[in-house]
Amino acid sequence: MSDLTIGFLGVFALLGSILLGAPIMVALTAVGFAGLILLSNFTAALSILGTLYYSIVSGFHFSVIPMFLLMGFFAMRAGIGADLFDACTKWLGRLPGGLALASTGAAAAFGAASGSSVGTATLFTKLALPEMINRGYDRGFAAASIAIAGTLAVLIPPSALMVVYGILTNSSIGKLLIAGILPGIVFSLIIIATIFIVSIINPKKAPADDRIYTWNERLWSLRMVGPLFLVIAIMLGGLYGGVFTPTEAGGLGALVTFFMATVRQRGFRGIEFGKTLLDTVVLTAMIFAIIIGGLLFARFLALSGVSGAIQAVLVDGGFSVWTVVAMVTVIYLILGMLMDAPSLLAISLPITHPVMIGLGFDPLWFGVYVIVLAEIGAITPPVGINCFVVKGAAGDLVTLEEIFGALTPFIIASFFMLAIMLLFPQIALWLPGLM
Amino acid sequence: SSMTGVAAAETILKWGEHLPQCCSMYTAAADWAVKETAKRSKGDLKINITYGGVLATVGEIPSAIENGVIDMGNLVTPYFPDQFVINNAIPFFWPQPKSQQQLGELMLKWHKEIPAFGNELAKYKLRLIAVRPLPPYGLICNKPIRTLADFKGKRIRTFGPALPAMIEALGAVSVGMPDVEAYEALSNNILDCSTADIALVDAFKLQEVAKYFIDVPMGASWGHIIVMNTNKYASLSADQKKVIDSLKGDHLTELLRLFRAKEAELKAKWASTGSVEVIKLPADEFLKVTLGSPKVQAVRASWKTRAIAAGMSAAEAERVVNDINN
Amino acid sequence: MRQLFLKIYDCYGKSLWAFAMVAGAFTFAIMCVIDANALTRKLFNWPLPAALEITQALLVGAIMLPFAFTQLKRQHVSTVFLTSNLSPTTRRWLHLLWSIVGFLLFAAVTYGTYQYALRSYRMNEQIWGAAIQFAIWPAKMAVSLGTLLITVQFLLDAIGFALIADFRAKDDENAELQGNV
Ligand code: NA
Ligand code: NA
Repeated sequence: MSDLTIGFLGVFALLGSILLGAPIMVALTAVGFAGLILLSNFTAALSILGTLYYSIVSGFHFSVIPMFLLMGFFAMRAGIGADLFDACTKWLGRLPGGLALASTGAAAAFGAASGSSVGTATLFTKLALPEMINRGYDRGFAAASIAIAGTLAVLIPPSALMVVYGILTNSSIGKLLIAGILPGIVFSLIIIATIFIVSIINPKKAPADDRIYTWNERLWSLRMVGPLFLVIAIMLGGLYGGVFTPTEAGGLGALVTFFMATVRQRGFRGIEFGKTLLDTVVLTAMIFAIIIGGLLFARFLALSGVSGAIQAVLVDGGFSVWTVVAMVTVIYLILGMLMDAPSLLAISLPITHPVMIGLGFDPLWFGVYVIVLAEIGAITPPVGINCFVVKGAAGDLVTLEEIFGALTPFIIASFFMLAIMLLFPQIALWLPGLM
Repeated sequence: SSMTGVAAAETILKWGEHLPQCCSMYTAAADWAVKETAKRSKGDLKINITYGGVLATVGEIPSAIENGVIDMGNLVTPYFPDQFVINNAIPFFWPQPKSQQQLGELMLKWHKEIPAFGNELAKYKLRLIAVRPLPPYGLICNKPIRTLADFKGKRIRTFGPALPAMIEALGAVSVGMPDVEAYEALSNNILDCSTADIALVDAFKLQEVAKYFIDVPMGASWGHIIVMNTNKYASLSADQKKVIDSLKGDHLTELLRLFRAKEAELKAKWASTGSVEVIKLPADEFLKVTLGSPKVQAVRASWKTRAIAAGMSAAEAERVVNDINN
Repeated sequence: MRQLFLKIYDCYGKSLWAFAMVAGAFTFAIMCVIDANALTRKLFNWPLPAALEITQALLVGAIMLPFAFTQLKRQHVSTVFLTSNLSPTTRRWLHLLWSIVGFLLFAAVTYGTYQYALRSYRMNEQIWGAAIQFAIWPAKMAVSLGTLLITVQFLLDAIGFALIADFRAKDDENAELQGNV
């Protein structure tokens, strides 16, 4: 068997075992290991297992992943999301689709304190969904708008998923995080516009709020936005004031939100300190298990020559750049239907990253593009993690079918976002270029 | 060869490199070595370099070569001061008077004349193929350092066993930080200076955030050695071995040529655009303060003790110390 | 027999929880070290000695020690959209298969990482911090400890799926909710 054959068999073995329910980190690691045995020998493959784990999990700048996660959990306990939703409702509530607009705006803003798409979707389901349904919103539409709004948290820094991309592709994590800011804002505006248009076309889906807020109430509600701005101000102040490096900023954010949560909940009991730490380490272990599996699998693909062969076909094969971009996009949309975002990145990047860089795309731009694609995958059936967690947090308020059934306008909106990224790559590259 | 139908089975060597392919003199010299190998072996010996740590990260490379995952690669010896004690002599001596070329030649000479150097590598099934000395070091600072007294209290990025002692002897504060953070840290005054050579300054674009290069006689520094699995080397034909052996000196010559061109280009650019001011501090004063520090001397003495414990004779260790300092 | 096994499974799970809590403490400690280092560096021009190296060592524990607890809680993501349509019996055998694969795989990982840590121990490999030195091997051993814990967890899962027909059958109902980033 040639090395290339072994490589392609490995790709099929990986997809097959994932479809048959293997934990994705086990599938990646096991196929990578078995493939390396076939390509070299048992001792060599074993030595890679021996060294790879320590070399990844002792990387100082990877400490931002647990710090970002910790920060997000503390921000939640600090009530930052609830306050934002309250304030946004008072300002946007009377517009068509007002509550959905408010939850999207608040989720985007909350994204500046939380790095987790799923965490944000869970939080806003609890905050906003019952009220939307009480006010006569279409259940599916309301739930779908929250599922997509959750994805904004991984475009806007902090973002654990951006760090995952940075680790898997050896790119500058600091620049990646900055690169996501403008696309995150643009995407939130697109989602807001989508909600607005759907609500105007079909007011039954999202009846306007009939509560009247005085200007006093509105202005007074702004004080609730204070904690978030305080977090952002301290982070930026710490970075530009020469106190913290970007890598250390996650530690600072966690500390600030920790204090806020402690003040808000009046003590450690209220912030469920132990549970918060446990949630953080479980997520951290889950993410790193996939990253390490993905890196091992990438080594196997590189040694087998599959990465090189695919790259040769796509880069030098006479395809137009746009054909390749379209193929890469479709691959992500298909794989994204089946798996969660970190797994999707770990499985695909060993192949797609060298191809796109070979075609002359900027690694930062591709990072943001792939994150948008991965987040589309987070809402699409059959495996749409954000829809699952919205359903999970909503209990009997909505069915999974209702959520999936209402996704169409948001998926169209996402395609619009992809088109904007392709036509105006500067929205991802302009800010990091200033660094 | 398949085109002509002769189908002479060429030997392919897998080289794992942790550096990215783009834009460094090390990788340019590596690419040169690949081309040269193909040419000198008339296509009989081919080297495939996989860049960017895809096959092994910097910490994994020696183990990956030892176990035959890859056939050869760059071993960043200063990362393994306890595993490669003898081959790590140079990083213990800061400051010292040697240039990049002198250090490269010294390392090749030691490997030729002192068996302990090769034996230490052979213990891990490694064989020296080529050397990568670093250019002379200095300090890149975001504020001018015009006298030695200006160093007092400055936060300076260091690494390794000897630099912190040297920096502290100057009255400065030694800060440990990954190299990729240096840019940001210099831009917002977390750091005042970072130890660097001018090619490193350029690679990390440090001149954008730090406008003063402080020229002090620290000496050049040690970087990497290129090593090959001993079994793999043994499996090569006599002609192939000859080609690989011929690279040793020629690769160094090419590397130094690339560095000199780059240094000249950068220095001219700095001078003409005024982007970086090079400040030369009095050498004897600098050497007196740093070499006069008991801590600096203790670090230097520690290498000899360690090398003897690692199996080197006292005379050989003494010779290495003298080679570096005289 | 079944009762005894379930008792062992339960006890082991509790010890995994304890290791995960240790990792939680490490995570919080990382936050403290990073912040303390930045503040003392800014305020007193005195960076915490070896803050970088201490963070790295703590990070190893924070990531590796909860690997097994994460598996116990079925939080290592998997895809169930196809398997959820299969019969409970087929699902059980698939779970058994992946538990055995996981066991063998992580046994190999544990062996490999342990050899790597052992070499570090034998050569007394040090972290060369700017101000202090300390041994690397405990951090390298922590990797092996984390993978050993998940190896045993996979083994216990394999035994459970082999012996007990409805072992952890409830997990399959909630499986869709896994994954959290
Ligand atoms: Na975010
Ligand atoms: Na999906």
